[in-house]
Amino acid sequence: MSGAVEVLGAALVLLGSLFFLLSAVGVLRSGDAVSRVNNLSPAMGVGLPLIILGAALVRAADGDLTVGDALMALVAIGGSLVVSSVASNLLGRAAYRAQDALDPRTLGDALAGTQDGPGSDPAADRGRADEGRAE
Amino acid sequence: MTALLTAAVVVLVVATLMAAYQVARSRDDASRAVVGDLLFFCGIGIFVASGLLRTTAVLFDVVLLATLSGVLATAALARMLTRGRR
Repeated sequence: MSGAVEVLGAALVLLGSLFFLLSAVGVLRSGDAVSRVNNLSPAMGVGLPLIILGAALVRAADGDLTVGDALMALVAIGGSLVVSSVASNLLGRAAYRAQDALDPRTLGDALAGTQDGPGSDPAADRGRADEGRAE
Repeated sequence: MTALLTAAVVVLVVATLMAAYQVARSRDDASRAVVGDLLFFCGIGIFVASGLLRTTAVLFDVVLLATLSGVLATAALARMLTRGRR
């Protein structure tokens, strides 16, 4: 029984690592920074929680998973889900503003023409703001 | 079980190498920051998978701290990309 749980945990770790490989392939194939932020999602949203869950199962099958360890694994899984969504949001917005142009394959761009659009170089904006203050 | 975990470490190392190649290849800072985030999480994964192969008492402590404080590195990179503006 414990042998089966151990193999299941190790298989979950391997499955999670395959999601990391999927993210790496997506990052290599995508054409701009915003698409790369999207391609992080499999690794941070599925891969890492699966790896932590698999690690907890392997430790439980060995019989050396304490209550504290199990709690820490649960908080780490929940935390990685929350943290990855917040981090992707922050990074995606910054990447969208920092890049010059979107990948030509992009379908639709709801932020085009707004103040946050691509090519709104923050340094240039700040320069204009400084000039306005000087006048 | 050892074979499965070793395969997981190998797959994670391959993903890390691909991400490092992308950092070297890309021309814009935004892509480098994004892929640097992927490298950080690959590092956590490699630590967990290789930590299961050896005996370590701090496996889940390190994972908890790394996942909860990983957002700080990402937020810092995002602030650098926008040069401090929100």
